[in-house]
Amino acid sequence: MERPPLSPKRMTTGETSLSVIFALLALASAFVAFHAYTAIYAFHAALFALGSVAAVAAIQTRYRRRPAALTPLMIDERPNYNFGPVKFTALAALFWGVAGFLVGLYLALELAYPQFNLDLPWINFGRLRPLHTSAVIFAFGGNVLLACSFYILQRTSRARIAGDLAPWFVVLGYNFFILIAGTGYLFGVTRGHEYAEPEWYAILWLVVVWVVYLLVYLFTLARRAEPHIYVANWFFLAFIVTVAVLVLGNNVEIPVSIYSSQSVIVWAGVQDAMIQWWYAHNAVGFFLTAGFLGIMYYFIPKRANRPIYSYRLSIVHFWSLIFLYIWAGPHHLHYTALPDWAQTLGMVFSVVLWMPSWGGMINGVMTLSGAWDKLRTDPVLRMLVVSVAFYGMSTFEGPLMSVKAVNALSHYTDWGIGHVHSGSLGWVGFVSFGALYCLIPWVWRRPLYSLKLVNWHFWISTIGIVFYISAMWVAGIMQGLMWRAYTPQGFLEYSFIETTEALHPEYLIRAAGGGLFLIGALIMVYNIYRTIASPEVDTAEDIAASPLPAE
Amino acid sequence: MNDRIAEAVSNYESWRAFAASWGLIFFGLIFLCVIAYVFWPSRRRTFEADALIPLREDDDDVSGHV
Repeated sequence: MERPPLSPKRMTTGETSLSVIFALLALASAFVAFHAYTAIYAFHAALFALGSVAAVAAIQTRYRRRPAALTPLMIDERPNYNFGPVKFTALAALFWGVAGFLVGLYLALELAYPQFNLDLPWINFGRLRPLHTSAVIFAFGGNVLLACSFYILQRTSRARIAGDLAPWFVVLGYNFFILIAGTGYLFGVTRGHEYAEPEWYAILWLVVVWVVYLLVYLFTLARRAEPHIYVANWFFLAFIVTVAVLVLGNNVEIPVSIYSSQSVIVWAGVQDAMIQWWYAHNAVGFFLTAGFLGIMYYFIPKRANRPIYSYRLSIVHFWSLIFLYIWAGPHHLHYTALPDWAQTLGMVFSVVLWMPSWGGMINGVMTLSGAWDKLRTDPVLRMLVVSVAFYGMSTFEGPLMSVKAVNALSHYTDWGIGHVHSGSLGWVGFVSFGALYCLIPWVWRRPLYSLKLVNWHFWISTIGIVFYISAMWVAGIMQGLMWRAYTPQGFLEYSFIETTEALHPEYLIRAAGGGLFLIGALIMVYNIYRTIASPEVDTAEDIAASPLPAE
Repeated sequence: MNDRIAEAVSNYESWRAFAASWGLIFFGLIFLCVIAYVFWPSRRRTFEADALIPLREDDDDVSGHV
C-alpha cells in the first residue's frame, strides 16, 4: 500500500508519554534508592532507575532512527507482522531455560551432597530453589508463552500486533520483572509463598506489564481480519486474564514502607494458606497448562499439516478445563486446618479434571491420525506429540495424588517433586522445545540447521526425564512409607535423618536425569545458534517445507 | 458462643450450603449450554472451517522483516 508523503517527523503520543513516565520513574526510583532501609532494596531501586533511563534512551534512539511514517499495518494487502518481540522472547526463553535447568541440577547435587552449598547464604537450598522454580516456570515458560502467543495471535488474526511500543514494553518489562525477582531471591528478598515469592514492588511492576499484555492482545484481536477467534487464542486469553486475577488475589498486602522491600499480607493463617494454594494450583492450571495448550493447538496442526482432530472437542476442552481447574487448589492442603468440605471439594474437582485433560490429550495426539509416519520422520513433531503424552500422564497422576488416601502417603515426599517434573519437563518443556524448533526457523526465515540434533535432543532429554521421574517415584514412596512406619511399641521407626540418608541413591539418579535434560537443552541452543547464523532464504514456502526431513 | 460468632457461623453455613447446591447447579447448566452450543448439528461446517485457520495462512506473510 503506497502511503502519501507525510508531514515532518513527529513523536507519537506513545513515544512522548512513555518517555515522560520513564523519566519520572527514574527520578522516583533514584530517590527511593537513597532512602532505602536495606542495601538490596537500594540495589533494586537503582535497577529500576537504570532501567527507566535505558528505556528513555531506547525510545529516543528508536525515534531518531525510524522513518517519519509509522510502520504500515498492511503491505500489498497482506498483514505486516511484527516479529521483533517474538524473536526477543524466543531467545530469552532459551537463555533462561538453560540457566534454570543449570540451577536445578546444582540443587539436585546439593541435596545429594549438601557440601555443595559451600556454606554461603546466597546459594543455599532455600534461596536457590525459588530461583530455579521461577527461572524455569516464569522466565523460561513465560518467555515461551510470550513468544508463541504474540506469533499465534498475529498469524491466526492475520493482523499486525497492536501498539508500536506496547509489545516491546511487555516483553522487556516482563524480563525486567524476572531480573528483580531472581536477584531478590539470592539476596533474601522473599514473601515466603511458593511460586509467589516476589515482593510488593516487583508485583506492582508485573501488574502494569500484564495489563498492557492483555490490552495488546485484545486490541490485536479487535483488528483481526479472520472472523473467528481460533481456539489457541481462547486459551491464551484465559491464561492472561486468570494469571492477573491470581496475582492480584494472592498479593493483597501492605508494604511496611515505601523504603522497605517488605510487606504484610492482610490475611493470615488458614485463609492465607487457602488463597496461596488457590493461586499456586491455578498458576499450574493457567500458566503451565492453558497457555501451553494454546501452543499445542497451533503448533501440532501446523507441524503435522493437518487440522486439529476435533475442533468441537477443543471448545469443550477449553470451557471444562477453565471451569474445573479453579476449584482444585485445596488438594494441596489435605489433613490441615482447612475445613474438611473444602478438602473434599478440592479432591473431587481434581478427579473430575482428569476428563478435560484427557480430552485435550486425545485431541492433540489424534491430530496425527492417518499421518503417524510423521512421528518417525520428524523429530520436532515427535517432541510435540510426546509432550502431549506426558501431559496425559501427569494429569492422570495428579488426580490420583489428590485423593486423600493417596495424598496421605504422597504429600511432602519426593513423589510430588517427581509429579511436578513429569509435567514440567515432559509436557511444558517438550511442547516449548517443539514450538521453538518450529517458530525460530519461521520468524528468522531460515531452515532449521539439523534435524539429527533435534533427534539427539529428544532422546537424551527423554531418557533424562525417565531417570528423573522414576527415581522420584521410588524415593517418594519409600519416604512416605518410612515416615509412617511404627515399631511394635508404637514409636516412629525412623528418624528424619535416616529417611534422608536412605534417599541418597535416588538423589544421584535424579541429578543424572537432570544433567541429561540440561545436555539436551544445550544441544538445542547450538542447533538454534547455527540456524540463526545461516543465510536467510527467500520465500515463505521454502521455510514451511525446509524443516521436513527427507522421506 | 456469643451472638456475633453465632451469626458469623450461620452466615458461613448458609453461604456454604448455597454454593454447594445452587452454585453447582448453575455451573452444571452452563456446561450443558456449552455442550449444546458445540454439538448443535448446524454448526458442524463452521467448526470444521475454523479448524483450518492455522493451515490457511502460509502465503499471507509479507517479508518477515520487523
